Amino acid sequence: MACKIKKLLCTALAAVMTAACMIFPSYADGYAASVIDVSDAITMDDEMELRGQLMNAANDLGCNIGISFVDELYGEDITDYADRQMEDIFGSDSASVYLVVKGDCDEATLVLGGSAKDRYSSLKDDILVQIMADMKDRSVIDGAYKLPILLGAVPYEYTEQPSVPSYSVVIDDEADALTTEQQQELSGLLIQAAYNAQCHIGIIIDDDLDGKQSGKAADDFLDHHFGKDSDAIVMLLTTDPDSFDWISFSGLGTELYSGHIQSIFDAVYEELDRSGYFAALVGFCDYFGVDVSDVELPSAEKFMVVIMDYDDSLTAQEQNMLLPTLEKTAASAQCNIGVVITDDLGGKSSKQYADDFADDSFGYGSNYILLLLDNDTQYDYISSYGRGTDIVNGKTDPMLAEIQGDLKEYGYYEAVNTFCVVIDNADDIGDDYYYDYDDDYSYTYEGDIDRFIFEWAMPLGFAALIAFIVTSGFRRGYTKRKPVSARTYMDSTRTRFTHRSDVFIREYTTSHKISRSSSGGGRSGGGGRSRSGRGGGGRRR
Amino acid sequence: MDIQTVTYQCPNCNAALEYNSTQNGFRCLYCDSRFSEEDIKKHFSENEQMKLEQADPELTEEQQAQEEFTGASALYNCPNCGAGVICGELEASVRCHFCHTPVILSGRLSGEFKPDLIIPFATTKELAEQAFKEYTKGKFLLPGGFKRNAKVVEISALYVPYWLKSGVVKANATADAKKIRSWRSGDTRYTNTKVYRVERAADMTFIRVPCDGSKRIDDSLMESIEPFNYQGIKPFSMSYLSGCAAEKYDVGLDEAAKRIDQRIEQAANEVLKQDMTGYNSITITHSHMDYQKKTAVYALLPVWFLNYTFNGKDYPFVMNGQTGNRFGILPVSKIKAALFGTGIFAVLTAVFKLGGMLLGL
Repeated sequence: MACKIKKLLCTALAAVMTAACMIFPSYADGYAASVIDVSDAITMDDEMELRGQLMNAANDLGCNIGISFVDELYGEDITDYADRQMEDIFGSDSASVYLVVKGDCDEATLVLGGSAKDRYSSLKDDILVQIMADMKDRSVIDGAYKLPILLGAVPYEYTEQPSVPSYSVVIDDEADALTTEQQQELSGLLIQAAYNAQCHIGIIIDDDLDGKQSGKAADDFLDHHFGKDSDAIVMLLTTDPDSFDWISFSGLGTELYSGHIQSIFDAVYEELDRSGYFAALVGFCDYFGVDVSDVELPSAEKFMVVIMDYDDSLTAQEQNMLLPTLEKTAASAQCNIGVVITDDLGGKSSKQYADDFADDSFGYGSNYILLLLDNDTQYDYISSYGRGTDIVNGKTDPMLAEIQGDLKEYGYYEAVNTFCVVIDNADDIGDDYYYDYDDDYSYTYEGDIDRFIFEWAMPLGFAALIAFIVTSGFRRGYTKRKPVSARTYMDSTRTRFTHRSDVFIREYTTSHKISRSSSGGGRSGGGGRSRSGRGGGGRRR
Repeated sequence: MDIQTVTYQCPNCNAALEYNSTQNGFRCLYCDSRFSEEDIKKHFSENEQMKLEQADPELTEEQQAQEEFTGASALYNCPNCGAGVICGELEASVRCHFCHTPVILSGRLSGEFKPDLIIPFATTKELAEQAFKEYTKGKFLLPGGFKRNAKVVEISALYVPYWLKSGVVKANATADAKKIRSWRSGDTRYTNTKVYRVERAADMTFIRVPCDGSKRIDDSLMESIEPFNYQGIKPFSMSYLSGCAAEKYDVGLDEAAKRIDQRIEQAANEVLKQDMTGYNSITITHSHMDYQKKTAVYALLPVWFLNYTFNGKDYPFVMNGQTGNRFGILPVSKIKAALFGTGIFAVLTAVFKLGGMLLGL
């Protein structure tokens, strides 16, 4: 009975501690360390110190590290137990190393998860042998201390290893462009990139530098996190319209990579435009030789479609019928598509509401086109970002004109369909197409009057005016008399000026403001592009 | 009514003499004898003087009424063949319609109508016809077949009556002038304007400013073939009229002087305004002109006239009989003008569109 109670209590304690580690694992900049001592194999002080060392090691190595000391497995295979613990604490497929020690090292196992398998599979057995030897020869805690050391080297026989240089990775995502999971995964990859590059790596994602220059912001970040003379690379990605993307280097980073700024940005931008910030930073890691083949990137085909009708303007059936059309449009436009209908902007402007709704729905920095039908102020708006802006830029007014026209005549369902059509035919907006309403809602866009005036009426008008003036000039030459001035008959030798007077009367000064045209930014130093990203336009019904 | 007439007859064969502009002399139409101006003056001067003094007799009321009724034409007897020929009111030198003898109607050139000066013709009829052809060359808006179908009424030499006014003019003008300076500071453009009152006064001498004394001849047409070279002006002699048509004036000096004064005032203002230098804009607010000395003479100046009709409309062509300056009013084909304009329109449209495409607009 006492044994059963003890068994129950141990199981409960293990469960509670496992749960505690699952809920409150120790994180070090994205990697976790876990120490579970169910069997009281080590003291509390040793446990805390060990946990600290494992945290540092997790950060340095770019993988989670956990150790469990158990005295009873209750018939479960130790390896299965270890796998289960690792999965419960660190999650499946994450880069993890987990050691389970039973009793006084009667039995032990080392399991690997995620990318740690690739790195340590061949070393696992040796590491385990070494640890068990130390635990038996010295103490359990000494053996435990050996785990992080052995993971950082490739020893076949334990010897005093020279200190492994440690590199730091700092991700500062002010713009919330990355999810927590993405940050964790990136931390591991960036650590590897840091080791490959032999530099600390810093990543800043910010949408507002508060007037600070990109270079200064990146340099300050580098100095603050890694030190002035450290070997470091810091990349700043910003959508602040007054700033540029930037890469700062110091120490070895300057020596090795300052001549490769363009290549690094190319690797980043290729993925950024297509799949967002996570993919862009994976591309960054790939550039520095990290194996990213196992990293799951957002698929280009997977775009979100959102219909939000707060004003009950569409029936549920209509919303369901619109979804396939919106999905088709999203696939062809290669960006997220959203429609929101509301009669309450909550005090925001149409633009603010649409931009915020899109960021909340699709995530900041994602490619999207969103239509806001505002039944409150009657000021409809099309918001866009990235690739969506490329599609609708400069065309939101004629697009909204079409949409509002159909809204007025046919209702909300047709208006949303028209939204899809104008996006599908965005390239043709401004051309002389007919508006042809087919049963399958495939129709093209009618010519824009403004564009007609600019492309045809103005050149024709100028040509006609000049032709008229020239022809009239020729005609006048056939009939115009050219009377001779009487100055011909003036004897200039006998012309004498008798009076000359120039009297100053008054003086006045006027001023007027010169309207400036907006000037685009340029590159300087280690800068990348200036990406405004956000676009859109509104129109009153 | 009978008009006093004069003919210049060849001292050798008594046939009619004609003034030859290229030789600055006279030629007999029959025996081709040549005589210099001095010869003719010497031979005919007494006659000439006597004839010029023989003004036409005053008309009775009945004759006046008759003249008004008939359009003021007159009948004369050709001194060569005796034929009775009717001539226009203003004609002073004609040819007999029957024997082509040049006849000078001396009665119409006497008294107040006696010219003071004359510039003899220095260009020939052939030259005038050639000038007309050259004038129409290259004029691609002329209607098709114009040169072929235009009926050229015979080009004729005519001594046109002119008033020539000379004088010393005291002109003054007042103007508002501005000096404008503009500069930029930051994103603001400043414009400073200084206003001045400018006055100029000058004495100017104008010599023989012409105005034609014929109502039927367009003043601006005549002004287009000016100036005449007064180096070649001579005291009037009827002999120069032999072979050329001439008219007496029907625009009096007072009326002609108004036009001349207008031209002089315009010229004087131009001179004064030109002296107002250093300003960005000048606006004459007041001008005035006074004659200190003025004289006027009546002269006959040579002009070749050609009138051609095309599609029922008359188009005049005139050439200065002394200098060769020419001017004519030409018809314009509407179709050709439309095609020309369309061509320019098409080319410019292509240029604008191509330019827009190249600029990526």
